[in-house]
Amino acid sequence: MHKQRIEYDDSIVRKFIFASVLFGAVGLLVGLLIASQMVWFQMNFGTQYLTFSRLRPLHTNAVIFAFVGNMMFAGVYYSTQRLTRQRMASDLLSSIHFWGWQLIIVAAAISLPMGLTTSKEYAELEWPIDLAITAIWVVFAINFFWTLARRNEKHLYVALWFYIATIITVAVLHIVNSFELPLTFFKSYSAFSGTQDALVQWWYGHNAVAFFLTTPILGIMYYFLPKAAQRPVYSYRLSIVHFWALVFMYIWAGPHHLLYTALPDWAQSLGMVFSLMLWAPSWGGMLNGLLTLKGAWGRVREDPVLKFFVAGLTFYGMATFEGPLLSIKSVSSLAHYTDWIIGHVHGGALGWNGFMAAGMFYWLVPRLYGTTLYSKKAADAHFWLGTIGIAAYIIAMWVAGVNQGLMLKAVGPDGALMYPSFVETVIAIRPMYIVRFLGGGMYLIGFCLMIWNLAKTIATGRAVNGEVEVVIEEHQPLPGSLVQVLTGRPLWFTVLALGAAAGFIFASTWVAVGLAVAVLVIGEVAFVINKRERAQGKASWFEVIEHRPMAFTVLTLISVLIGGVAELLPTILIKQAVPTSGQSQTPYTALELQGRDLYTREGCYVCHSQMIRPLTAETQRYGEASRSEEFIYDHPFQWGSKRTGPDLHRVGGKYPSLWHYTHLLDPRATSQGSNMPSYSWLATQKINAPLAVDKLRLMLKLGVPYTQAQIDTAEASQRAQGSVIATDLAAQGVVVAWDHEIVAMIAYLQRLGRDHGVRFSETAPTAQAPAGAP
Amino acid sequence: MYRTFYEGMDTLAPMLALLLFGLTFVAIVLRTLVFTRARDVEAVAQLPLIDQSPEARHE
Repeated sequence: MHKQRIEYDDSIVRKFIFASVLFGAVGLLVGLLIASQMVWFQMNFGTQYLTFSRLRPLHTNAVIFAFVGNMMFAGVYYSTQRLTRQRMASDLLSSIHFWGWQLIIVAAAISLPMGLTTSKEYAELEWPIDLAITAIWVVFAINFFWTLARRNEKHLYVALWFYIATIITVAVLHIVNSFELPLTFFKSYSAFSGTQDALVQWWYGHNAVAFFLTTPILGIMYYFLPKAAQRPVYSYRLSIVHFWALVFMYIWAGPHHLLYTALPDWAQSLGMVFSLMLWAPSWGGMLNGLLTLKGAWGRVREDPVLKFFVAGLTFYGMATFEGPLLSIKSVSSLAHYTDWIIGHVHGGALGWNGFMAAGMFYWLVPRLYGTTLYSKKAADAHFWLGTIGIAAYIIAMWVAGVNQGLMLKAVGPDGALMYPSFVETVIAIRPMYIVRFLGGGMYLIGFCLMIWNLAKTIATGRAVNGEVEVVIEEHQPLPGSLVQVLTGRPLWFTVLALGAAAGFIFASTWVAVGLAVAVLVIGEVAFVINKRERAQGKASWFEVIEHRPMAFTVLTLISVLIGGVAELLPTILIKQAVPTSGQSQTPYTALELQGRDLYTREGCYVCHSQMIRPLTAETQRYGEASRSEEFIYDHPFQWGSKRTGPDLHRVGGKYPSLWHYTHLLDPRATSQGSNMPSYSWLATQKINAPLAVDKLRLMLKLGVPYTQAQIDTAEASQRAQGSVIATDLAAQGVVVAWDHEIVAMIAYLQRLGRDHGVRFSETAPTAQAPAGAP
Repeated sequence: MYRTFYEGMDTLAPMLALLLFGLTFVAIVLRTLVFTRARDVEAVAQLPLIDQSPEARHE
C-alpha cells in the first residue's frame, strides 16, 4: 500500500468546452438563418450553399455532434478522471480524439452545404467522414476503457455506466447505419433499401437521440448535479433501475418514427408500446435528479448553475412525456410530418441539452481557471432569455403543428377536403414561424451572453489542473468471480422474464399468462433466497458486476442488442422483392437515377415526404397509400420526416414537365404563397452523364436487377429520355439542353409513383395543372 | 355505444398485458425503494462528493 499524487488532465476538458461553445454558437446561428427562410424565402440570398434544404442537415449535425458532442466529451473527461481517481490513460489519445473530432466537424461544415450527403437524417455525412468518425470513436473508447482498467476507485459510479452505454451503443448504431457502397470519394449509396433502409435509419435516428443526446447527459447529470447541490443523488437504487430500464427499452422505440408508413404493422406496434413504457424510466431519472435538491431548493433561487440544471431536467421531463404521447398511433396520425415534432425536438435540444450544457459550463469554467464566475446577473439574464425563447419556440411550433395537422385532415359535409391546396396550410401558420424565429433569436442572444460571461471569467483566472492524493492498494481482490457473473440469479431471471413476455407474441394467451405467473413466483423465491444470502454477508450479483467494467460492458451491449436484433433482423432477412400486390418497383432509368441523386443532394426530403399513409385525408389528397414493394430499389429511401410542402410519392404524371420547370425556378409562379426557394441553379448546371454507367453498375451490386445492356447503354438512354423532356419543354417555349440538371430532376419527379406500366417513353402530360396544385 | 366499439375486439390479451406491466412496475418500485437495504448501495452515491482536488475547494 502506498500513496500517490495524481494530476488530472484538465487541459483536454478546457479544449472541448471551447469547441462546444464555438460550434454551439455556429449551430444556433445556422438554425436562426434557416428559421428565417421559413418566413422569408429570400434569406438564402439566391445561393445554393445557404439554402434551407442544404443547411438544415448542417444545423442538426452542428448542434448534435459539435455542440452537444464536445460538451459531452468535456463532461466525460472531467468526471471520469475524478470518479476513477486516475488521469486519463493517454494524453496522446485524448489529443487525437479532440483534433480528430474537430476535423470531422470542419469536414461536415464544408461538405453539407455543397450537397454532399447520404440523405439519412443525422447520418448525412459521406463515407470518408463516416470512416473518420469510426476511427476517432475507437480512440475515445480505448482511452476511456483503459482509464477504467487503471482506476484507483474500485466502485464504478452510475455516471460511468451511462458513459459505457453511450460508447458501445453509438458504435453499434453508427456502424450498422453506415453500411454503404462508395461510388466516388464524395458519393455512396446505402446498402439497405426502401422499408429496410427506413427501419435501420430510424433505429439509428431515434437512438442517436437516446445514446448521444440523452445517456451521456444523464451521466453528466448524475455527476455534476450532486456536485453543484453538494449532496448525493436522491436514490442510488433508483439510478440502477433507471439505467438498466432505459438502455434496454430505448433501443426498441425507433419505429415510432414510421407509424402508418409501409413498415410492417408488428414493428410499428412494438415501437409504440416500448415508447409508452419508456416514460417510466425517463421520469424515474428526472425525478431522481430533481429530488436530489430536496432540502436545497432555496439555493436554486441564488445559484445559476442549479437554475439551469433544474430547468434542464424539467424540459427533459416534458420532452419524455411528449415523446410517448406522440408515439401513440392516433396522435402520430395528426402530429407526424408537422411542426409539432419540431417543437418536441427543440424542447429536448434547447431545454435539456442546451441548459444542462450551460449549467455544466457555469460550474466548470470557474474551477478550471481557479476563479469565480464573472457575473451571476449575466448568467441569470441568460437563463431568462433562454427560457422565454424556448417557450416561444415550442408553443409556436405546437400551435403551428396542431393547426396544420387539423387543416390537412379537415373535410366538409360532402366528405371533400376543406383545404385541398397544401400551401393554404403553410400560409396559415406563417405567423407562428415568425414567433419561432424570435424565440430562437432570444435563445441565441442568451447563448452569446454566456460566451461573454465565460470569456470574462477566464480573463480573471489562470488555467489550473486538479490534483488528488490516492492510496494504492496492491492486489486488491474483486468480490465474487466471473462464474458468479454468468450464473447470477438476476441475469437468468431477466432472461426468463423476457421469454415470458415473448410468450404473449408467440404462444396462446393462457400459456403466456401461465408463463408470467411462473416468472412472478420464481421472482418471489429468488427474493427470499437473496434476502437470506444478504443477511449472511454474501456479495450481491450487482456488486460482482459493478466492479468489473468488462462484464458490465458486455451485459450492457447484450441489453442493447436484444431490441435491435429483434426489430431489425426479421425485416432485413425477409425477401422484400416479393410484393403482396403482385406488382413491384421497376428500376430507375439512368436519367431518373441521376435526378434522384440531385433530389438527395438538394435535400428535397427535408421538406417533402414520399410516403402516403393509409389515412382518408392523405389518400384523398395524394392518391393511393404507399406500399412497401414500391421502394425496393430505393437506395437510400426518401420517405422524409417533415412536410413543409406536400407529399411527392405520386406526383409523377400529375403535372406537365413545364409545371415542374416553372415550379423549380419560381415556386410562387405555380403555388402562390409558397415558402420554397428557387432552385435556379438546376437550370444552368449539367449532370455528369458518363457517371451513370458506374451508378447502374453499383446499383447492380446492391441487388437492383439492371441488365448488362442497360448498363452499357446508360449514357445513350439518358440522352434519349432527356431529349423527350427537352423537346416537350421546347414546344412550350423553354429552351434547355437534355443534360441540364433540371431535366434529370423532372425525369425523376415524373417517375414517382408510376410503377404500374407508365414509363418515360409514354408522353408526359401537357395539360394545365389540376385544381388544388400545391 | 362503447359496446359497439369493443365488439369483436379481443380485449383479454391486451388487458392481461397491461395488468402484467402494472404489476411489474409496482414490483420494481417496491423492490427499489422499500425492500432494498440503503447501505448496500447508497455509500457509492457519495463518490462525486469526496473529490479532494484543489479546484474543488473553490466551492
